[in-house]
Amino acid sequence: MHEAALALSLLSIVLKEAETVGANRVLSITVQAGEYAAINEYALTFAWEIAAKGTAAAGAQLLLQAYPGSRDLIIESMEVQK
Amino acid sequence: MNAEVRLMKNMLEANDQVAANNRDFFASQDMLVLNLIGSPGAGKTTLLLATLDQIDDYNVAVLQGDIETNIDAQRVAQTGTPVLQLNTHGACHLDARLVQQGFQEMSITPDILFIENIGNLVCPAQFDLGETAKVVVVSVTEGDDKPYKYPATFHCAGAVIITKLDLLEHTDFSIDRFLDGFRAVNKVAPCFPVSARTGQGLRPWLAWLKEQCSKVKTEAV
Ligand SMILES: Nc1nc2c(ncn2[C@@H]2O[C@H](COP(=O)(O)OP(=O)(O)OP(=O)(O)O)[C@@H](O)[C@H]2O)c(=O)[nH]1
Ligand SMILES: [Mg+2]
Repeated sequence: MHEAALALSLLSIVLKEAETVGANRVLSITVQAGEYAAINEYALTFAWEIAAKGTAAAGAQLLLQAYPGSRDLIIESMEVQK
Repeated sequence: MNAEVRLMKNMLEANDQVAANNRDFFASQDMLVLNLIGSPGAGKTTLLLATLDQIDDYNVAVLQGDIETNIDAQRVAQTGTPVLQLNTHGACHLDARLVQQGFQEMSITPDILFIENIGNLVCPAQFDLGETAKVVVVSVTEGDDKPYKYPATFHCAGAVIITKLDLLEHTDFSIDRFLDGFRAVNKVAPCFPVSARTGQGLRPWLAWLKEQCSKVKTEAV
C-alpha cells in the first residue's frame, strides 16, 4: 500500500550508490523481501518504473527474493554499467 | 562494462535512522512509547480515552495521527492530556520524522507517550517510529480472521487488544479462533480482551502498561 514511498526510498539509495561507484546506468536491483514486509511485488514494480523514469536507474529490473520469517526489506545488490 | 555492486542496505534506512534516534532519546528520558495500530474505527481513540481515565498518576502525552482533521486530538484534549495532532494528508502511515517533529513541538517529556497511528492494519507496521512497543487494536466487529489476513502486523505486536467486547454476543467473533491465528505469527505478546465502552477487562491491560513503564525505568539504570 505504501509501495510508492518505498520506490522513492529505493531510488534515492540506488542513485547515490551508483554515483559512488561511478556507474552511468543501473541495469537490475535485487531486493530481499521479508515475508512480513507486506510488499506487493506488482505494486512495487509499477511504482518503481514510474519513480525511476528519467534517471540513471530508468528501466532497471527489480528482482524480489522472498525471505521467510523476516519483516526486513534489504537491497542486496545491483548490476550497473560503468 | 557491467559490474555487480553488493549493497546489503535496508530499504527503509532513512526512516529507520530517525526511528533509532527517537528510540535512543525516549530511552534516555525513561519514556514508555506505545504505537497504537488498528483499522479505521477499531476503537483506538476510545481505548486511549478509557486508559487515560485510569492512569492519572502518570504524566501522559498523545501524538494523534490521522490523514485529515483534528477530531481525535480534540477528544483527547478534553481529558486535559497534552496532545498534538499529526496529519499526513493522504499518507497511510506515520513515519519516524513526523513523530520526531511532533514530539519536539510538544516540548514535554511524559512517562508515557501514546502515538495513535493512521487507521490502517497494513502500512503502519512497516514504519518504525522509535516506539518501545506496538499495540495492535482490533475490535470484535471486524471478525476473528484478522491475524490470518494481516500476519505482518500481528507478528510485530508487543501487545494486542481485542476491543468492543460488549458487542461480542452480537457477532460471530471467536476469541479462540483469533488466538489460534495470532499465536501462529506471534508466540509472546499478551492479548487483552476489553470493552472501552463498559470498562470490562481493562485491568490486565492497565497492569501491563504499568509494568512496561517500570521496566523502561529500571532498564535505564
Ligand atoms: N460498543 C462499543 N463501541 C466502541 C468501543 N470502542 C469504540 N467504540 C465505537 O467505535 C467507533 C470508533 O471508535 P474510535 O475510538 O473513534 O476508533 P479509532 O480506531 O480511533 O478510529 P480512527 O481514528 O478513525 O481510525 C466509535 O463510534 C466508538 O464509540 C467499545 O468498546 N464498545
Ligand atoms: Mg482514532
